[in-house]
Amino acid sequence: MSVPDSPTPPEPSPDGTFLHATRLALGLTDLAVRTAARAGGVRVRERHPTAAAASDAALGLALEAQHRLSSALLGAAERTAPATRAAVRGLVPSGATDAVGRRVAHWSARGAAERLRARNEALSAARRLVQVLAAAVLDEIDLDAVADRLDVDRVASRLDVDRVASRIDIDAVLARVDLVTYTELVLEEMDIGRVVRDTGGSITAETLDAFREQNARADRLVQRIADRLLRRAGTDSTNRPAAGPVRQVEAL
Amino acid sequence: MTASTRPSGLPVVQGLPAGIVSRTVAAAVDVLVLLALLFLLELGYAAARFLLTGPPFTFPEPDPVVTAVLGYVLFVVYLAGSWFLGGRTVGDQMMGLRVTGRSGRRMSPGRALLRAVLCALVPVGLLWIPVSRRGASLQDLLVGTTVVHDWYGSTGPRLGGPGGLTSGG
Repeated sequence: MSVPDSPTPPEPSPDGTFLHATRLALGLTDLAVRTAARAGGVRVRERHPTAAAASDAALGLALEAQHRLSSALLGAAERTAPATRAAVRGLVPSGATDAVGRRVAHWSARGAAERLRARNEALSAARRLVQVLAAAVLDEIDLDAVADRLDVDRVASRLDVDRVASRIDIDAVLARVDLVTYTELVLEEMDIGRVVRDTGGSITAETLDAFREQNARADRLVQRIADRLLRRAGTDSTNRPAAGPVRQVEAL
Repeated sequence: MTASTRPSGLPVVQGLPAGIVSRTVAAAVDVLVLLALLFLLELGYAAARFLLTGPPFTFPEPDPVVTAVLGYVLFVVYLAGSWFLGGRTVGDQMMGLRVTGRSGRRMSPGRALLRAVLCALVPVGLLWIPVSRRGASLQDLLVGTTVVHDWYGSTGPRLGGPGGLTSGG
C-alpha cells in the first residue's frame, strides 16, 4: 500500500492500483470541468470555504470507504486463499484444472492481442486528434500579430556581428577559391595584349602617317601653284631625290 | 604603317625636300614646345623660390624684354641642340622631317647654331620655299642645308624605298 501524497510512484499493489485509478479519474474530471468552463466563457469562481470543505469531505469519505472496502476484500481473499486452494485441489480433478488453465491461457493471449490492437487504435486516434487540434490552433493564431510583437531590432541588437564574423575563416574560403586561375581566365578572354597593341601602336602610327601625307599633298599643291605663278614648268623637287639620304644609305 | 595601306596615288616622298606646309606645321609645333619650356622654366623658378624663401607661391613677372630675350635664347638653344644631336626637332619628328647639310650629313655645331639663330630671327624665311627650285628656305640658302622627308628614321625600312633613293643612287 502506497502513501497517497507521496511523490514516488505508487507500488503495484491491487489497492494502490485502485487508488491511482480513482485519483486519475478524479483529476481528469476536474481538469475537464475547468477547461470546459474556461472555453465556454464561464469564469471559475472561488468556492465558498464551507462548500469547498463539504465537497472535499464527501470526496475524502468516498475515498476512505473505497480504501477500506478494497482492504477488507483483499484481506478476506488472502485469509481464505489457502483453504480455497486446498478445497479446489481436492474437489476438482487435475484434468479439469489443466483444461481450465489452457482455456485461461487462450483467453489471456486473445486478451493481450486485443489490448495491443486497442492501444494502436487509440494511438492513431490520438494522432488524428492532435493533428486536428494543431490545425485549429494554427488557424486561430494570428501570425501577423505575432510578427508585430516580435522586436526585430532587439534581436538584431543582441546579435554580435563581430563574433559571427570572427568565426568565419576567410582564409579557408579564399583557399578554396583559385583566384589566380580565374584571373588568368578573365585576362585570357579580354586579350589585353591585343587591345594595347592595337590602340597604342598601329593606330597612332597610322594617324601620324595620314597626317604627314595630308601635309605632303598640301606641299605639292602649294608648289604647283607657285610654279604656275612663276610661269615655270614645275620644279624637280618631287622627282629628284635629295642628296642627303643617298649618302646615308651609302653609309649604311 | 606599311606601303600597302598608303594611297596608290601618293608619290613616295621619303628623301625628297619637304614643302612649306609640312615645315610650317613643324615650326608651329616647335613654338608650342618653346612655350612649354618657358612655362616649365618659370614654374621651376617659382618652385625654387618658394622652397628657399617660403610662401607665397607666385609666378615671376619679368619684364617683356627679358621674356623676349629669354624665349629667343631658349629657342635658339633648343633648335641648335636638336639639329646637331638628332637632326630633327620635336616638330620635325612629328612631321617626319630631317635637317641635313647639303651633303646629307649631320650639321656641324656652328652651322646648326647659325641656322637656329636665323630661323628664330627671320621665321618668314620659310616663305621662300615655294619660290626655290629645290624647296629651300632663306636659312637653307644662307647656311647650306636642306630639309627632307624621313618618316621612319635614317635606319628605317622605308628609307631605301622605290622612287626615293634607288633612282638617284
